[in-house]
Amino acid sequence: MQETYQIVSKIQRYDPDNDRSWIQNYQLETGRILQFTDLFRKINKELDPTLAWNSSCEHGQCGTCSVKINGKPMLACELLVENAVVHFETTEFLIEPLTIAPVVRDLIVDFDKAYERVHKIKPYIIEPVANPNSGNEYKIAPGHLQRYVDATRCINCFCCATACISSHHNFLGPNAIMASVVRLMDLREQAKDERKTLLYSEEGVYRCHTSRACSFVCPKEIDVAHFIALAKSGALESDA
Amino acid sequence: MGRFVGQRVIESLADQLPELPADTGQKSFSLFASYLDQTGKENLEKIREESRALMTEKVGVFRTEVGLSEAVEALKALKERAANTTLACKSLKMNPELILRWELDNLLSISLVTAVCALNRRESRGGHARQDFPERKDEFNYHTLATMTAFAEVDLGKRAVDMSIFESHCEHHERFGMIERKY
Repeated sequence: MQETYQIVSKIQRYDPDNDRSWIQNYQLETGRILQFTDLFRKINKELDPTLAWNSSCEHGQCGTCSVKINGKPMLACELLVENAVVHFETTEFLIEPLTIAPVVRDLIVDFDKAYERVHKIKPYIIEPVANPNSGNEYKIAPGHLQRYVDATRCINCFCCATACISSHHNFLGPNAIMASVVRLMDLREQAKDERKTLLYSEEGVYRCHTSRACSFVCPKEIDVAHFIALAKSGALESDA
Repeated sequence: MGRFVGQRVIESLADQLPELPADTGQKSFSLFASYLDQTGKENLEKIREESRALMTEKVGVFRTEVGLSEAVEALKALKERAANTTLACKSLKMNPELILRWELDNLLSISLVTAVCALNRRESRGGHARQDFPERKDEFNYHTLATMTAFAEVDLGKRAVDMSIFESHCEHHERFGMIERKY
C-alpha cells in the first residue's frame, strides 16, 4: 500500500451571489488515513478558503456531511482516502452536493427543505396508546422490536433519497417513508389510519420503483427497501 | 439554538419585555463588518494552528508560571495578527470563512481567559496540574468567575463551592466533604 496519494478532487461549486456554478479541480498530496471531511478541511487550509461544505459530528452519527462522490451518495466523514482509492479504483473524485434540495453554496444543500418531507410524515408517536405498564417504561417484546429496530438507526443523511431513482418532487422519499413505517410497526402508536392515508397517497409508497438503490447506499446499512416493501404488501402489523 | 432560546425568553417574559436599546445588534453588525473590511497578509488557518500548538504546549496538562505567562503574551500577539487577515470570500450567504474568522476570535478569547485563570490558581487540583505548585491549597477552595470586557482585560471573581449536601447531614453526607482527590 502506498504511503501517500496524489488526490484530484473535482468539486461541484456554486456561488449564490452570482448564481454561477462550475467544477473546480483541487490537487493535493494526502496520507492514506484521511477522512474526506478532513480532505475538504485541507483544501480550505492549503488551497481555497472559500470552499463551503458541511459537517457536524464527523463520526457517521449525524448525517450532515453527505455528498455524492463519483456519483454515489455517502457520508464524507466515513470515507477514508485509502478506502476511496480501492473502492473507486481511481485517485480522481468528482464530488457533488446531494440532489434532494436546492444548493445553498458549493456542497451545502438546504436541509430545512429536505427535512420538510420527514416532518410531513410526523416522525414521532402521533397518538400514544395508554401504557399497560403504567408508571414504568412501555414494554415491547424483543421479537417484535427486532422487526423494525434496524430502521430506528436511520440518521436522515438523505443518501437514500439522493440515490432513489423515483421522482424527488412527488415522492416522500425512502427515509421519510421508513420513518413512518417504524411508527406503524410501533405498538405504542394509535394513529395508524392517519399514517396509512399519507403512506398510500399519491406521494406515498407506490412511487417506489423497487430499484433498492436506497438499501445499496445506506451508510448505516439499513435495508431501507425492505421496509418500503413491507408497507407495499401491507405486512406491517402482523407478527409474522 | 441561540435563536430558540431567545424566542423562549421572549415568550416567558410576555408583557414584562423591556424596551430594547436603540443600538440592539449594532455590536454584532460592526464586528462582522470589521471582519469583512480588514486587510493584511496574515493567514487565518496559520494563526489558528499556532494557537492550538501554543495551548497544547503551555496551557496543557502540566503548567508552570513561566509557560502560562508566555502563553498570555503569545495570545495577545496572535490576536493582533488575527486583525491583519483578509477574507477571500466576502459573501454573507453561508460563508464558512467568515464563521472561521469569528471562531478564531472566540478561540483566542477563551484561550486567554483559560491561561489567566490557570496563572492565578497557584496550586494543583483535579485536571489543573501546576508543576511549580504541586500541592492542593485550601485558599483556592472556590470557583473562579472570569469576566473579559475587552481582549486581555480579565477580571477574576469567586463563587463559593456548593456544600449544601455535606452540610445537610443527610445519609452519606460525609462523602461530599472537601478532600484531596488523589491516587
